[in-house]
Amino acid sequence: MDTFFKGKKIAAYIALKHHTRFIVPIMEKLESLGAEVIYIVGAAERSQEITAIETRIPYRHVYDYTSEQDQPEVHMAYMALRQGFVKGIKKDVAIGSSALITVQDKNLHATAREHIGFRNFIAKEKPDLCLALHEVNRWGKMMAFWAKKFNIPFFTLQEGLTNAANFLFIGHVQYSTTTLVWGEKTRQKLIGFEAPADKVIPVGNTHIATEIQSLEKKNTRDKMRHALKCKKQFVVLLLFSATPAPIEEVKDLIEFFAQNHQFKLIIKFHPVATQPTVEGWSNHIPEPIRKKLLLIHGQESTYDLMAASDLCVLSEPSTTGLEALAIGKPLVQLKLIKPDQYPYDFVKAGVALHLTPTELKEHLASEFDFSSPTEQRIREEFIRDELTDTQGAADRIIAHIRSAIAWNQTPTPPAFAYEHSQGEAPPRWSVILPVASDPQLFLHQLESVSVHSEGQGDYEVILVNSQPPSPALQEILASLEGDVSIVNLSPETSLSQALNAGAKISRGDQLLFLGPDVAPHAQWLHHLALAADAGSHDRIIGGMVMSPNKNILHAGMNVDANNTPASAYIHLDDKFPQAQKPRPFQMLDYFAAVPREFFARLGGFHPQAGAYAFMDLCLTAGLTDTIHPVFYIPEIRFTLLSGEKAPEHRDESLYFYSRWQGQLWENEAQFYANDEISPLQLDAARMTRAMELVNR
Amino acid sequence: MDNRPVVYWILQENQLTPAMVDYLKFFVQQIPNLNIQFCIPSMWQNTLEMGADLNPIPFDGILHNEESYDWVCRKRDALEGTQLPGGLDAWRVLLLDDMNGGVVHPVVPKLPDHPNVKFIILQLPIPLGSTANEERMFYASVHWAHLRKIPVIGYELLPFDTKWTLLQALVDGVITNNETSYDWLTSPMAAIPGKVWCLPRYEAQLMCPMTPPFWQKGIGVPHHFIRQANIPDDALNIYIPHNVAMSHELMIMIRRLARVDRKIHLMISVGKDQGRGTHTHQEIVETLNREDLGKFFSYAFHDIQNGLDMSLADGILACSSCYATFLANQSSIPSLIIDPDIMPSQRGYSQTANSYDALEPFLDQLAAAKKKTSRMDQIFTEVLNALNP
Repeated sequence: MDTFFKGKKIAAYIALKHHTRFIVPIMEKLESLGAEVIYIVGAAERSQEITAIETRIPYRHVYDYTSEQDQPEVHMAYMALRQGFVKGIKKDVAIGSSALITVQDKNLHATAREHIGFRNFIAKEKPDLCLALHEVNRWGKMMAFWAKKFNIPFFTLQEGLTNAANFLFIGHVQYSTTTLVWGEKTRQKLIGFEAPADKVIPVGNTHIATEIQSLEKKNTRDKMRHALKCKKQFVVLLLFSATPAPIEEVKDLIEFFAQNHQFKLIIKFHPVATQPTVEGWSNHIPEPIRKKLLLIHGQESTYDLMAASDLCVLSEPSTTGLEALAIGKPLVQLKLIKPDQYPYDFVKAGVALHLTPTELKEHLASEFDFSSPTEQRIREEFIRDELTDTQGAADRIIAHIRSAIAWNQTPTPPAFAYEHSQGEAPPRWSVILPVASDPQLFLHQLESVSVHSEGQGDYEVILVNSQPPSPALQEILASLEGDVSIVNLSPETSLSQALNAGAKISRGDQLLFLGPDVAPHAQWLHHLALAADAGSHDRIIGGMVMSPNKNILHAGMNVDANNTPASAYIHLDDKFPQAQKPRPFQMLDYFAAVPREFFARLGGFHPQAGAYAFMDLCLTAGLTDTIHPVFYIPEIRFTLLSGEKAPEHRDESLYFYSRWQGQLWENEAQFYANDEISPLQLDAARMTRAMELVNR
Repeated sequence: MDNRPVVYWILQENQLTPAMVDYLKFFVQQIPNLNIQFCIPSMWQNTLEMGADLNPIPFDGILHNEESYDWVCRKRDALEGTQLPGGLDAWRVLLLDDMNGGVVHPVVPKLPDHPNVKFIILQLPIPLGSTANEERMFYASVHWAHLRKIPVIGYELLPFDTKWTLLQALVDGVITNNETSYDWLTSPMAAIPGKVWCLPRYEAQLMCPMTPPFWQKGIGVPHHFIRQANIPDDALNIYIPHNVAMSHELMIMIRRLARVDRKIHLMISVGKDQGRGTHTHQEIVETLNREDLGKFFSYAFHDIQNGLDMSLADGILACSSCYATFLANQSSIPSLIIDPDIMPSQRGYSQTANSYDALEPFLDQLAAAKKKTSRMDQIFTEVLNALNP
């Protein structure tokens, strides 16, 4: 009996009805596994409570988590916002023209109260994990922020198609531990703009597979067609977004349906369309014609209507189109006078016909076969790319949730004892490096270690090998001489586990861990010795890592605006002045020099950390009492021979961001401000550097 | 050539009443050294018609709809540094959803670019009660003024005593039409950076959505008496509805009032039908109160038939409930009735006490309230003086 979720508490923020169809299946599953689930709603003119009431979900309101005692704080928060907005409104017409100012004012006050409410909610309920559809609205953002402050993993879900402009996804994965998307296409969309690649995971759609099964099992198509009295008609489902298509453009099309009884038109308005909009639009249709149509605004299931239909027609791209395709309906995207300005549409993807209302009318009149024009193969590829796998998405998400909770609540690794003593005359350095997959690079790396370590103190080399055996690698390993040990490991061994295995047999006072393909430069041990002798015994030392063309890849690690590690001064010339400062950092990557005993006290690398091993170890060191336990020395230099870091493993990234959810906070902007370098100057320097390399 | 300083008074639909029109016509005459030009967006045909006597300048507002990443960046940059507790950036919280991401709807008002515009004045919308078009034009006008570094004065028609104070903080000065709003906006909690004024009752009752007939009929009456009797701003105007049936009680009341250490302009109502014997009503009062009347800063007799004269009063003192106290109560003028023969009570603006202990607190309240007020002409002069010290 799986008892992991017993006693665990999961909190989800819901707002609109369509949020519930993604989140509720996950929450129900968690509840069935023994978790306590809590739904919370925010304050909005479009009451979020109605969503919960109509969906019969027990809910709490964020305002219920504020009391009279919070009033001073709420007021202070409001005043801070008011002051900023007054300044902003005076500075740029953009603020005053974005929404009515009184509406903004109401939102500011509500935001102030909700902000304190979400803090109190998290502090009081102490959930083990939080869920929201996304963090680009204020409620998701504030809940995500406080979850992070309280070191609680926060998962967001991005529904289906991301058909809006890229910039509408800024900060989509800012405070979230991870965002789960339906498919690779969405992932690419998000990371193509600014989302951190290692925090976006495709998992599939949580509900469509169940919906398709349910539609078939319940024979929904026949039942709906019977109920709608259109059993023998060709049914067209016209789906409108927030704003219906201009009535004058679709008037003839609508009249066509009224005049031709073998066709039935169902018009479904999006739930976000307001009642006056729908009524205003509908009133333009003469009563006798209107009677022959079916106009629906929210009261019928879109899936049921899709099942009943023979053709789905969109007035603009939306997630609904993807769902129609998944349910197996042919799709038409209307070509209207106002040109489409969407960065993404079904027509370009080759899965929908692009027809004007008149053309659609003509196609219908000629009994055109809508199911044939788009190739089945293209449709299938499209759906796979968008939906990953419609089966078992909820289970995949549950598995991620389980991992995130477990890793978030992982205690600091216990100190370990070395199985072997250092011996009587231990070497000063133990150089521990993984055997690279590319024999040539590996050879180059070994040569660099050998040549650049000459005459700088005794050292041993420990090679940790989890590569599948290849003749070329075997040849290199067989040719090695001197104080070299090889630890052979299984291919599944992660980088952190491999480096730990090397450390276990080390004898040196200082353990020098090199990442894959990282080759030291001349004098590296000399500078390491100076640094090791000068500072605390309990500290991790790192250095500058550059690409083969001498671009900085690492000069210490900051945390960027998405609360994700980012190399300082990346892509700049290795001589860039500000990168030459020795200084403490929260994290380092690629290389770590750690005193042997300190490494043992830190518990070694976390086995799950994998590619994040170095940063993870630094963050663990940050939990000790040592002041500045992580230090960057620019004179200690390396080249990453392969030029780029290997892509992250998703389990490793989920571990890293779950475990360090409460520790990773943006500090990059302050770092550059302290160095007196502006974002503009950085961009200019990077541009100059890129041009130098191009012209070389 | 009219070289007078120009003030644009922006008026919109739902912001003008017939009483306001009458008042504004009167007000313009009060301040002849200013060229006050009433500007009404041409889309508000009803308002243009209602305000025709103000010779309004119609102006267009052109609405643009735009969307781009540039607007996102501009919004983000304009809110740079604004944070919620804990360090959460406001733009991260609000920009993409509440502030419509890259979408903007700027309105460009085609107000005449008169070189001598000193300030603009307009009603501040409130979160519960204004319309979208009205608000867009409001902001467009404010932005128009900001671009030209022209101060903006906002006034209250709909109530300001709410938790939402962004608009009041946005403008350079705020004119309230009641003491509650004034007290709130001048409190440290509201922290309004600009100057806040409160109109006296006789103007506040005209600068509001619904004006009782008493005040509409009385436009200009208080101004007339202030000028005629040269009543200083710091004097309390106390109205006593006199009646010969209570001459003795009223004599005591006037005596008690005369002993109060305050600058008081006493207004005493007299009626033609209240002459008794050889004395007119006024002579009766003068004879009975000969010694005390001279102790007031000033005093005047008002025909009881001219009830509108009461519009000048800061408060009413009476020895019994009567028509005047009823009218005062209906017209939001505080009254104190001192009558030892009935129970103390409070009804709206009317307080009944059975001892003179209530007198000084009543006067203190009136004085405190009066101290907060400034007439519209005084406000205009103050703004102009501040601009040209």
